[in-house]
Amino acid sequence: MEDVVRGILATNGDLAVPAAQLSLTANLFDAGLSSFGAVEVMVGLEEHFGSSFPDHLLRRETFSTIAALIDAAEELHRHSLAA
Amino acid sequence: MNIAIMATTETPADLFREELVRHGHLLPTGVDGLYGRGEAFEAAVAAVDAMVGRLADGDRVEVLRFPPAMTRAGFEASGYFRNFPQLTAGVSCFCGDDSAHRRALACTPEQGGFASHMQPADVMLTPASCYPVYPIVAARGRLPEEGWLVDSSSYCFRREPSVDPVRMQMFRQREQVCFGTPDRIRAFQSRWMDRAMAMFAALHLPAATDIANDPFFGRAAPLMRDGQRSQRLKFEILVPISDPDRPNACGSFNYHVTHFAEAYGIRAADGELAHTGCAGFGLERIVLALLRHHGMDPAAWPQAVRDALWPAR
Repeated sequence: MEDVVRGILATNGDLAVPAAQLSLTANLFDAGLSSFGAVEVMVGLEEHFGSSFPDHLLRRETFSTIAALIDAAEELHRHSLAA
Repeated sequence: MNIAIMATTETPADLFREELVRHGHLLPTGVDGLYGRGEAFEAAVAAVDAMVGRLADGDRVEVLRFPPAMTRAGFEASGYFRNFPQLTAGVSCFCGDDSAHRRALACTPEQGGFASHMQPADVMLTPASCYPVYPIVAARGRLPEEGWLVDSSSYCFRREPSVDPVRMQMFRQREQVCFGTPDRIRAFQSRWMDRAMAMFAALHLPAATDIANDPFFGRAAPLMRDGQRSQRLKFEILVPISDPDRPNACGSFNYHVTHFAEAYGIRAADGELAHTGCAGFGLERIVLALLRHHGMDPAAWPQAVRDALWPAR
């Protein structure tokens, strides 16, 4: 799942540094991710899993670290399997 | 029976609008949110505008005024269409020759009318009066060491037709725009909130401040709102106007971080991206609040309010 998230961060959003160089807990907004970049990451994850973000995950905190994004991606994955 | 039902289903906004129209303050045009203004209303707008100007007395500020339109390139760079496509509006023009003109005139309403022969021009309607300021300041090169301050004003347009008179499609904003370091912008934001609260107190209006968020578009709106609120980027001063239970923003105090600096290339004296912020007042909304709280006749407003608006020279 970490590879999926890092891959989507590498091709979506607007990080100022390569996603591969960021630790799991590095703050992505400090690393240049804008609000609109977070939306692009959201769309990228949704397209990958074929599942929409639930409302409770549409928060800045969800997009603040790779670790938080992995948690969200796992939830999206579970939703896509259940659908 | 039907009449009784209609009378009881009118909203506070309906009733307030009817009263404003009856007293000649707003003149309906047939399009919700687009009004003519009566003489007394305009006199009050001018007084509020001047009062905001007096708040800035002593600031070293560059005064700029703009028409309610800006370049499409400048608008596009702002990112407004990304976040608020539903509020966006542009200017369209006829660019054809004689025969195209005849076809446009012959076009029936069912076929879309003459407007279906118009094309987007390189001009957009201004959504906030500070927007035209950024490309102008950016084009001058690096900011002075101490930063920069602009006093801006224009009519603004937001496509959100509503029967509620406080939600106009065209309205005037008076904004102060600050350029500099993060500390300078936060201090500017705080200073203008204090000044604004003092102004509303002098106008005897029940104002309250709150952290705010913009009406972002689409499914990502909760994410954008959460980001804006959690970073405490936007504050508003709220006054109940049409509906006592739903106060409206009459002033807005925003910290953009480096959003506009990145969009337009605004650099601080040291070459780093500048930070920006703005403090804006909705002039019509403040006048509507005065009419709501002090009555429809400005001549009968409390003397202290009139003295604050029209001080003796």
